[in-house]
Amino acid sequence: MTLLEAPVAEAPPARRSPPGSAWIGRTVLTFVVAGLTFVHAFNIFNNPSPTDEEGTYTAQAWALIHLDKLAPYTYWYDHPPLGWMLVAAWRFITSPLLPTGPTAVATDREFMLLVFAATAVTLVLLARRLDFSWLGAGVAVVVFGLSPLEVYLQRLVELDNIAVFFLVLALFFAADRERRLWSAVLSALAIGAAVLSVETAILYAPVVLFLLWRRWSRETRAVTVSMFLVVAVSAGFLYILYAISKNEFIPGPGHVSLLGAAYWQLVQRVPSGHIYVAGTVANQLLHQWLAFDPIILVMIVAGAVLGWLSRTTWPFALALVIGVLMSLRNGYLPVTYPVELFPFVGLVFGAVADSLVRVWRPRSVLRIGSAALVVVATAALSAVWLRGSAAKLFPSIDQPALSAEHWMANHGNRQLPVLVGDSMWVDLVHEGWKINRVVWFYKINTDPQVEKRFPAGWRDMGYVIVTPGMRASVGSIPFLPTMIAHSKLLVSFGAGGAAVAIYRVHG
Amino acid sequence: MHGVDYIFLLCVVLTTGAAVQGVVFNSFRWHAPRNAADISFREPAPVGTRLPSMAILVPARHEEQVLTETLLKLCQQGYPELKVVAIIGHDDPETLVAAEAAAYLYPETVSIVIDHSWPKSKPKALASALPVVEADIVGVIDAEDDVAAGLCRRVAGEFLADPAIDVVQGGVHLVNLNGPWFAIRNAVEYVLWYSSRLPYQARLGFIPIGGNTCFFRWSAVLAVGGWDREALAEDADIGVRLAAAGAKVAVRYDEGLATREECPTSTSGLVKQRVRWYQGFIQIIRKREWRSLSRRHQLLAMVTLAAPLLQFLSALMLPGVLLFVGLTRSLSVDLVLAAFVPLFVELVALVLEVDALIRLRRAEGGGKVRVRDVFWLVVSIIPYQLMMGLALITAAVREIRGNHSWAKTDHVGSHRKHSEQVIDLRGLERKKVAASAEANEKAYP
Repeated sequence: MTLLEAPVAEAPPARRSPPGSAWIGRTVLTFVVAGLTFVHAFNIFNNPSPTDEEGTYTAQAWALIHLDKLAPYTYWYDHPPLGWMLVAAWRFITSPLLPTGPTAVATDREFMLLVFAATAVTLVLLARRLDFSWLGAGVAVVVFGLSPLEVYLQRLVELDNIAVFFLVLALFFAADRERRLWSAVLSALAIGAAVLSVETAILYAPVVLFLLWRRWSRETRAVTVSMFLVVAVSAGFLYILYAISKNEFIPGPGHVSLLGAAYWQLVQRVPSGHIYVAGTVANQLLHQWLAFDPIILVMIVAGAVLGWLSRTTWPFALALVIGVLMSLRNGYLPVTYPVELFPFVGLVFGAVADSLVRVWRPRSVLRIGSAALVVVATAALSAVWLRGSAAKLFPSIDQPALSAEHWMANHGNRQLPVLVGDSMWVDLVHEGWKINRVVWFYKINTDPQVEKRFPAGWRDMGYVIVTPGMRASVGSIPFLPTMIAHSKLLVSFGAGGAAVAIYRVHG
Repeated sequence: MHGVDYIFLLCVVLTTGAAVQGVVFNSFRWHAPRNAADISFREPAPVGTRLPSMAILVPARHEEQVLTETLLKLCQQGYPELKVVAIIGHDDPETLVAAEAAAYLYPETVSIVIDHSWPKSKPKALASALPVVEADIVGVIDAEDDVAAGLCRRVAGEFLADPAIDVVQGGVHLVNLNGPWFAIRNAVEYVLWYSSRLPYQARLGFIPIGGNTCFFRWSAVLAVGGWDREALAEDADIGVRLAAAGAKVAVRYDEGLATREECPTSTSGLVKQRVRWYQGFIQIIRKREWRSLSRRHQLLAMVTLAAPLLQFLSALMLPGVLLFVGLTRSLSVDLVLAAFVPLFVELVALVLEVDALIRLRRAEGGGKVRVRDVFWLVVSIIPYQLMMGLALITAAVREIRGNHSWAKTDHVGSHRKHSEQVIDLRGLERKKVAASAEANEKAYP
């Protein structure tokens, strides 16, 4: 069964929509994207609270601007650096122009807002290139960006969000109606940028290749696809070259290495367990996602099946299948895992909505009726999602970490070193601590340079600010209980698991 | 950043620019799917269409080994109103014998023009045929060329279909792939020229016309005064003058309709050929017509001319500076990464080259492309570029010194099957003269 009559390699068909509808469609979709961006922007500074991962990238972007280094600590090839390079470029250009948030992490979320808007616009343009109607493109972008889970994850200063922009951009170029060679080259550069933003984007490179392969006709395919591969691999190879030229490709004594980091990521890293087994970390993550919005997760799984009904959405169904299958294995699962799937689920449901309308004769009552039905259904879904966001993401939430930072700013001794979670690092440096005296908690026993500076380890610290993130990572800092036992509680904010406590360390 | 770093970056930018320029021009056929169709010949004119009269000029010098067959093949084109004009030097009886052999078999078609000019050159030969030619369309074919069957009809079809066309440039293949070390690279270069670079330049409005397999509307040639007798690259020269006069050039390339040629048989032959071309280009730039070209066309021509020089200079300087910087102090990682960018562009160029080789092999029945071919293609890049750069510098030096003598490319017919080389025709004796570089030096001192 084919729901959508999809011309693939043939010449682009004549526009189906009557004249005038393009103008209306463009206007309506501009408002839709603007509305989505507004939802993302609403209270983005104060909700959710900054995570340590966001803090890591914020600090690494800060290090690029102020230290001319890829990270405030030894860069150890945990991720390719393009993502925070862009964050840094954005901060560098806009810091005098834009309002600053309560924390450095919050301020960098401004960039994520831009990334979201750019991704949404590119997604609409991609949908149009794939012959979606304006209605279908609208459904696609709403499904891509309105679910509370999406709003939550896309607000975060996370590399995956940047990679997704490049991924959608690569698809946009690969879907060129004119099948120009430069589109293939640009697509290759975009997928290269995606992989240089976050290495896991490579999982979705076959999707771009699939679209490209189908789009280009037989005569030009060989050269176009070869060129795509050469350019994409060259772009990705820059990362390896960087490591080689720093003599940090192969593991060796006394230095970090790319292969070592890859080995850690793929083999040594503690897996999150099976997502469907209760009690595993992956399962807890699933519940965390479900708490934000179960609908979008159901849609992702459904899309992995529905997408195969129409040739247009085969590449996107493939992406969803890759995503769902990879989540089922017992590997490391980051909290941002679903981010890469959001554009694909949007595209599949956009196409489904389109085919529900297009199955009827043009200008027939049934067609108008089903179009109205799609609009109503989308509006209803949007309402549900907005309610979810209104409950969880619009209100300012109590931020114990922010209060702790304020307390430190007012009472802390700048001469004493502080052990902190990553999200506070830049803020304390801004408050006057020297960068040597603010230490990411897990660096104290992993980074040789830090160990050299503080030979007695945690005993050399003046303060420790214990955050929920630190308590959750106690496995990597086994000294924490002893450290707290040898410290005096100065002040504590928040209650229970969310509490943030400042201790004075008496080693 | 130190001073030498900036020089290094400049090298990287220039190399990358030159390489990107090469890729952009050499990939025109693939820029958009319709391009390949756009540069193909139209379907032949329907039977019964009155075709324009055509004359084909074949200048020949010390080419008795190959000329007869070339002339005969032209006569066998089956084109209704065709004249084949062999142009022979007055001091070259052996080649004259070869031409007379063909004239004996096709007395209606073949005519022979004796060129008395001295010293000899191809443009003088072509110019000497000017007064005797009377045809709507005039083509130029070299003495060693294997012209594809039916080419003349297809060319005529182009002129008929579009009255605005003044020049039709057909494709040329170099087919002695087992020749010298640069043979494969040279052949691939030709495929990319005729299938991409020249069509692209034609679309942009400026094209140095090729030396053979080019067909002119005769009135257009007369309007610009024919070939310049003193030009070293008479093809590019007339191309510029036609472009200045607003002529329309159509480049048409089909694998099956390309003229088969051999590449120079020795390294020195190739260098001499390029020196002549480059010096010819330099001459053109110094001419009056050049100034009447639009800025855009001038820029385009300069890019064409400057590309080998840029590639040469940067290919020389890049490793040099890299070494210097590396020896004097630790090299910054950014600079190392930058140095790889032109290499990546070269890889993209290699994709185009391998594809061109595959198509050439397919068209000329050379079998599959082997790893060895690709190996030679890669290995020859740097020496080839160095040679092109040296040729350009030599050309500039020759031009500055006022040395305008003609260095001709040797042809011995290695692109033809050996059995075809000797044609015994009813008592007409053929003297075989080993065409060597020395002999040619004597021919065109």
